[in-house]
Amino acid sequence: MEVLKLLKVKKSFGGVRALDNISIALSEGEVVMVIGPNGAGKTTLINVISGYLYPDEGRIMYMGEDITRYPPLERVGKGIVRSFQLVNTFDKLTVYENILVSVLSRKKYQYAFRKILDEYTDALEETENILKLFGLSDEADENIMSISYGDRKLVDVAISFALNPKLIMLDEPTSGVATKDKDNIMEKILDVIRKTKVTSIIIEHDMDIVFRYGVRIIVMHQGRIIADGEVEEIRKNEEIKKVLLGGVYA
Amino acid sequence: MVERLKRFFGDDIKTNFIFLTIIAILYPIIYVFSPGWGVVLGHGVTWISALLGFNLLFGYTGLLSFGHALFLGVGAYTVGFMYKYLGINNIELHLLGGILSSTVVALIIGPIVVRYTRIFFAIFMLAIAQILWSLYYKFYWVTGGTDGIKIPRFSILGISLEKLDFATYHHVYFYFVTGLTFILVYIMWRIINSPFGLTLKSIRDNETRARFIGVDIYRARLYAFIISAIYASITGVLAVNHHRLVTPDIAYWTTSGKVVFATLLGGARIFIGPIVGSFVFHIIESFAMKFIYWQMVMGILIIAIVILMPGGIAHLARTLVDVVVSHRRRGG
Repeated sequence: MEVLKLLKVKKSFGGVRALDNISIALSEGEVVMVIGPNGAGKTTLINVISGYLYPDEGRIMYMGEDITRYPPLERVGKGIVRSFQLVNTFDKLTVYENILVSVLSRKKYQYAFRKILDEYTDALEETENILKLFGLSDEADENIMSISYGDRKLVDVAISFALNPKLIMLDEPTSGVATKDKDNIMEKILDVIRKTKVTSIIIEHDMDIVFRYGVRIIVMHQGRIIADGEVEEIRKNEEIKKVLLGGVYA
Repeated sequence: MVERLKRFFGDDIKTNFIFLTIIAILYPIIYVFSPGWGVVLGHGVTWISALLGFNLLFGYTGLLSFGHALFLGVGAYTVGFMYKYLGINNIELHLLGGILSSTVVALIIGPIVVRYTRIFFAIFMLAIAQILWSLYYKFYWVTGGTDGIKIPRFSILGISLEKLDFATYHHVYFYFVTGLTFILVYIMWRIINSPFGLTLKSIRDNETRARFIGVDIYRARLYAFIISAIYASITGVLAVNHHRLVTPDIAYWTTSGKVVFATLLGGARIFIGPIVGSFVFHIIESFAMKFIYWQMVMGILIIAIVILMPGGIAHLARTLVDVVVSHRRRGG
């Protein structure tokens, strides 16, 4: 079944075409990595799917429903979840609370005030499980700002997973992380994706990471999709390599 | 699991209740030695509600209101009008009236103001509060203008307090308000420690992300705004029953300043902060009033607080408790 389908989606900022006739289809459980040089429109793509921005033209279909004009809140309710390129967490809360608030929101308890948190054992238990899934249990009681940047990235992704998404979009989950930790974080995230079988779009800037972990790869350049296929296919294509390397190494 | 929700000194309900109980026990002793200071404690307990309400918005939702006098005014004038036009002096009915009228006012202005944050929210609130103040001030045929509305001693459950001597009357007032405050503190504590409380903190910390985990931030802020308004109006109701006079002063911006100052003094990041702040503020105010330039004294003080203890008194106390506890643990 098709989870997501973009039909000729266009988005411009002034004279710049950030998305130029983008059509993508994603089936259930599929994991796709999106790569491209700076300004290729990768983040705009996520912004349009998540409802952060509305497209100028084209349609976005989700589970057979036209969601092109749905506000973000409604899309979250339908299971469309995103993370951000820069770490986007709740900075004065603990790791545990960061994830708990997301679990509570999914369970529609976000405005409940008749009972105190301690009484929501189902939500507390679920939070524990998510912590375990991401290997964050030991840091659960720490303030989010006192853990390493890489782990904060993981918490960021865990907040998204706590919403039980049907479609998750991760905007450069390893950006800003020290090179030696990148593999570790990517592996943990992909491990969770495999276990939960959630349909995923992962934006990645790092070519090595994409070729090492990617299955299906979409290459974007100047707002257009210039390639969409299996990792081997893309790897062989010299033209694409040139675009990705942006003339720096060519 | 639940251990993760451990609450530290000042954030747990126990420390809050112990603190209030100590005040309630000390009050008669202090009153015997000096009725003046007994009255000061009366002020302290009266203002807790407003500060708790203010801090729900400031400390927990991240909205700084420079116009909370608005709701104190609504509470105060509800009492004034209830007495002037209906002859009601039952404090239970005053409280009920204050809660209802502040809810209505919060429902009217709330949906607009909660769309703003930071300085815009602060100034918006200040502006609305000043408009209401000017109405109280100018429509003297209704409000009595600067002369205000005189009200008699209140009655509780239909029992009149008119014949009591001042000391007994004040004791009744003090313990009535203290009892009420226990309830208000408990309710507020539960709200802050509920899922809704955590949602508010998440909005405070990161509005955008809160929206993307499925929180309608305007809705959550509106709820917080209404609760905050009710709490502030309760202090309005109590304060005018304490003074037995309703004047526009309570709705003036200096009252809003007092709310902000007292909360910062006590500590906005800790639940007990506003409670401690209310007492300490009124004690300092009484000392400062002995000087001609007492406002200047208060001004210097606030500068000192911001620089020397930005976390407020409660934060300082927590730090001290932490030091003592860890010292003892190491010693044992």
